[in-house]
Amino acid sequence: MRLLNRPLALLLAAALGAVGVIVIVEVVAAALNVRPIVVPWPTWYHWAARTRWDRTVIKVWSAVLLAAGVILLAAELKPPRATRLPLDVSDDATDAALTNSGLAGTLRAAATSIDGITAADVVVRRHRVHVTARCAARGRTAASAFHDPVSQAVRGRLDSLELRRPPRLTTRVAPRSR
Amino acid sequence: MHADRFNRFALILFGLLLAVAGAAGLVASAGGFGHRFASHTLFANQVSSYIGTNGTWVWAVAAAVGAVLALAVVRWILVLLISTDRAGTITLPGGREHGVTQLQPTALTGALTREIQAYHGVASAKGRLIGDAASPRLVLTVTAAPTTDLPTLHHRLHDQALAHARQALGNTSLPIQLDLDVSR
Repeated sequence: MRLLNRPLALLLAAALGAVGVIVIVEVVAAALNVRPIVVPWPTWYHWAARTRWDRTVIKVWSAVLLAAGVILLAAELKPPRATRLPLDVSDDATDAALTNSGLAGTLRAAATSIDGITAADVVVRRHRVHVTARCAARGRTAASAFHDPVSQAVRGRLDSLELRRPPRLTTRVAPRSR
Repeated sequence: MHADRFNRFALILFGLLLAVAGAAGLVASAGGFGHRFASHTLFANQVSSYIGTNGTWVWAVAAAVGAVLALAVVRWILVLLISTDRAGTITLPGGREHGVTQLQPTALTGALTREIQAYHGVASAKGRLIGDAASPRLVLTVTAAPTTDLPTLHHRLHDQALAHARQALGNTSLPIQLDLDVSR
């Protein structure tokens, strides 16, 4: 969201600046008894002077404003996705962490270090890591023989990383599909 | 306030204004403020009447507020377009009798990343000093090869590279953010 905030803020700033300038121009024009210069505000004024609150157009525009506000608030207030897992460090001045992709990479390497494992997919969530290793053998029975060695290798690697709050680990071994 | 924090604050405030205006409009439209109010026109209320009878000075004030808003927005846009979180030239601590020593942040981060890239198992390293030059913060991203012993690398980084950075800046409690990544 931080990346999107800059263009959004730029749009908001430009819109606010435009509103400020338009107000100045129209107030000066009205004071000089000149016709509206930038926006046809008398038309808007007459429309608002004859439109009642219970008209459908008011309901629709109010709903649009409410929806836009709620979407913007939800996007801004949503906690950012965790992309790094803090490491245990001896001093307070250092904030060391392993990135999610770094954890996935090192666990993938641990899984594929087992003979017979050809590839591994690692999905890192905030409190959970799923490792799916693929073995060269066909059939579930053959794949199940790899479960313990893969689990041990991946668990050992995860435990050695000195993460402050290690995520929960689930390991699965899938047989060769064809 | 940093530009990104101010952007977020402004967007939250704007979202809140939109939501409150929309909710108030819906409530008014549905008769939440009384069925008589719902059957009134948009300008048939005390605020509009007040503006109508005091238009001369109210619109002058509105124009003045518009001018202040436009100036504030120009400043905001300039900050948005040219601001950076990178620290400027750092003056190293020490006696000033024989002059001062200044350090370009890129000199430190360059030396540091070159040192780290020479470590066993490191694929690449990037660094930048952010924040105020008087109290900077070092952000380091080190990418290791998949088979690297990460705890050993972490300890080496902590005991050597980070210690060297703190020593160079004469600040033993220099805040450092270290992100360890692993290449594919």
